[in-house]
Amino acid sequence: MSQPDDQFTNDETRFDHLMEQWLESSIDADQQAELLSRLKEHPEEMRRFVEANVRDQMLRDAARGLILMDQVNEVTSSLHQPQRRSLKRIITVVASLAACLLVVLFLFQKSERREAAIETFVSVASLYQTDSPLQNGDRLGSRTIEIQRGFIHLQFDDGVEVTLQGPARYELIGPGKTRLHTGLLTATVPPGAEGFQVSTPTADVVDLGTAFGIEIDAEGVPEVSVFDGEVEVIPTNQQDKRLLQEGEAVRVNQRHEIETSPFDAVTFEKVWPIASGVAGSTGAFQFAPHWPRPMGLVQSDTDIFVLPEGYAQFLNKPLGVNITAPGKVRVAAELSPSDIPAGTRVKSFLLQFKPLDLRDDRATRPNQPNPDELARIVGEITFDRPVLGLIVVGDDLRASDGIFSKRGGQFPQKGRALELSGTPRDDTVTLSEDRRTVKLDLAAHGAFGDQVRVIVDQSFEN
Amino acid sequence: MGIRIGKQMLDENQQIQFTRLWTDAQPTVSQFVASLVRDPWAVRDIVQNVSLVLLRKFAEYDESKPFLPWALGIAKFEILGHRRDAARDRLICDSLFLDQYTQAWADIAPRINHEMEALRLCVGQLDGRPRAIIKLRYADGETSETIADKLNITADNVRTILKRTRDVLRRCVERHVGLQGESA
Repeated sequence: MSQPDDQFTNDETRFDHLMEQWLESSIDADQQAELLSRLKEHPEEMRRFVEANVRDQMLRDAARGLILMDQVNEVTSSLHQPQRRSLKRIITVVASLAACLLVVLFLFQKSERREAAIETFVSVASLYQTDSPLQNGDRLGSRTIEIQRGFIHLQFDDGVEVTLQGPARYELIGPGKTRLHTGLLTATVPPGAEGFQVSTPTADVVDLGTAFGIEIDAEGVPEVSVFDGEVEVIPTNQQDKRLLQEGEAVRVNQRHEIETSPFDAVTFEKVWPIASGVAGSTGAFQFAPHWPRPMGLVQSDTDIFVLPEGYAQFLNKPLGVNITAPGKVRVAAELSPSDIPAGTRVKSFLLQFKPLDLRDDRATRPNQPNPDELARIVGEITFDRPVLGLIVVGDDLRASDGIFSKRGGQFPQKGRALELSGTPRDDTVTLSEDRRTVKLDLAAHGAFGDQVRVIVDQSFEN
Repeated sequence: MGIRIGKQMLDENQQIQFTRLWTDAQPTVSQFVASLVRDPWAVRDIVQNVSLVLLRKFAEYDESKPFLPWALGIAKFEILGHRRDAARDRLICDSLFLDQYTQAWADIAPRINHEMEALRLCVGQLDGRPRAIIKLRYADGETSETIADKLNITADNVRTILKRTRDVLRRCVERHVGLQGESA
């Protein structure tokens, strides 16, 4: 019989080593004899040995399930690639996968049912044109989300919002801890949820109260862009880290070096409306991203700009709004004013029509337009949550500036209220029956613009 | 209409009862056999024989007693009759060891098997090198040495990563099982 190695002076460690050798099938005859003798003489060691064997077998089953899942994912994603494949081959692959999936579904049936009982910390807020099997309102715990196309807007229980743009693979590790394997996301982290982390192949991105975006390129290199506030970028080798400010961007290459990149918000322009809670728009609406923006200069004779006004927040006092009932409003008498109670969680959007400033070229715009020749600016915008109220009256717009507007309230704006007198030169606003769509029909004349503040429900129950 | 097994005839209720009991016990019996016999084809043959023997003897089964220990007892004899696993012969040829091992398995496995669902979830969350090593070790049956060669790291590193990963999995499983218990 071989003598125990010197390193195994501790009897228990020696036993653990013998068990490991047995489990790994690398045990020799002498070690086997030693193990057998110990097991027969010590019931407690026999109990530990059997438990280790049961767990080893369970892990083997789980690992085989893992391989099967990886194969399914691999073939599924290859089926989505634009390469041409023979129909026969695809059918063969799909048929064989179907058999595997039946097994996997059987194996995972119970675990999926129990997932609801497992810790959840994220809700699916909305999905757009995506192949994901998830649905609005689904509650999620630790899991990986994979989409080939479209967008998923997620809301974490602490208020963090993440929007994924496919193709992407994103892992929810736990509350405040996530990993982007591939693809693109934006994250909005409200005060109180600082420390939210997105790991990437070469760096961890830790939020310090902000809005930021990450895109991972084909080589697994992340580019981090900060729209608002600050984030800390820590390469995974922990060698160096950098604090990024609003308007800055960096890449962390495969050697874990941080390289400064030009800030380019265009990369995120598709994802930003969804990230903000806008489900869609038609007509004159244009989206003004909410990272560095000189809103006073956002002017157009043909467009109505949509400006998300910061993070979702709880109202600390009642908020007066002018339109709360669905329907069309043409005159002031049709307003349906009310207060949104304190404590309600809301997000605000400013819809702004601001014609080009032609003070240096007044001759080009008639002071008294002919009503029959008035151009009208019309558009519809749909939010992913119900609208609680619209603010269209000048005094109420000014009163709510301090609550929602980070920059707009800093300079006086004249004539921003809607003209609601019912004449052809006036404006109309319509709130849809489901309270999610706002239609603006604005008369485009004069030097003054129009603003509507839309207060959208952000309660966690929705 | 019943089915004839040897001289015994199982009626329809017995067939249903057997199917239910064997379906529940089969994963545990398969794991038990696989823990002692490494050749997967031999495991398959043994488990198949176990099911046939159980079916043949089912008319003698005492319903007041648990099914799993009975099934494991049959599996133990099938393993003894199949001894082809030279690497493990010394243990599985020892009848005292095999008795104690079988009895302990019947006690311990049902207490742990409910963790299987959580374990699958937790294994599915592994990433990077731990995920790769768990697959190589447990799905492909590689040793620490062969894994080390493939990943160009030392076998000690592989063992360390395996140990840490199992600890991570254990904590993950405990958390999930604890949560399930709380919500039950």
